[in-house]
Amino acid sequence: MQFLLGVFLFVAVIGWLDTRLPWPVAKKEKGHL
Amino acid sequence: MIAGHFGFAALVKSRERSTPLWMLMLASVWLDVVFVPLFLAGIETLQPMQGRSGYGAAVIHADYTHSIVGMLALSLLLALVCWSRWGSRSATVVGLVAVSHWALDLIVHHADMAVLPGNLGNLPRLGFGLWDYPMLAAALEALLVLLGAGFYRRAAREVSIRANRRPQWATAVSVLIATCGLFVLYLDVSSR
Repeated sequence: MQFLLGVFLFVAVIGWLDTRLPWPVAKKEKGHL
Repeated sequence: MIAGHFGFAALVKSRERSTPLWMLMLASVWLDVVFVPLFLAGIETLQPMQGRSGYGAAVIHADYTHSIVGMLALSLLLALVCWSRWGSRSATVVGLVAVSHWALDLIVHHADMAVLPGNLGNLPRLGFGLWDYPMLAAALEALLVLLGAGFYRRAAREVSIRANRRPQWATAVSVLIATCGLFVLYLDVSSR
């Protein structure tokens, strides 16, 4: 139960809130395999 | 260990800023995410320890997801999925965070972690058994949560200020990381 709650809180809720911050964005490099 | 893994993911985010936090959080518990359906199917099991109950009082037979070879395969799989979207650096970071789950579990688990999938060859099982000292194990988890939240706050405030944004949101998210981490740890420690 704690595990599922943890996944929901950290991946869904906190993960979503974190996307509101102006972090640099990782993109796939071009020109490489 | 649950909360400690999330704390470690927040710590990594403070250094690897372009990898999404949600992906790092997912990677930090990726082996356990795969464990859940195998547990429900009866393929991997939890065996309560005699004379003990609650936090860390189980022998975990996760012989596929938490074997060294299984862990490497699952980490590689997750890294490959991330590579197609975020590139090689983030994919490597995500893969290593998935591996970190096994390394942190090695510290706390009783000697129940197999080397080969299905414990092929009956090789010696691994685990340093910090769960024999529940308060020490809980302190390690709390430390990871607080360190993760602290370093995350510093990095998040820095990028916010640099982008001319108010840093309060960064502080709020880091407080949430600490609060949720300690709450999940409390539930884990007080479970019976």
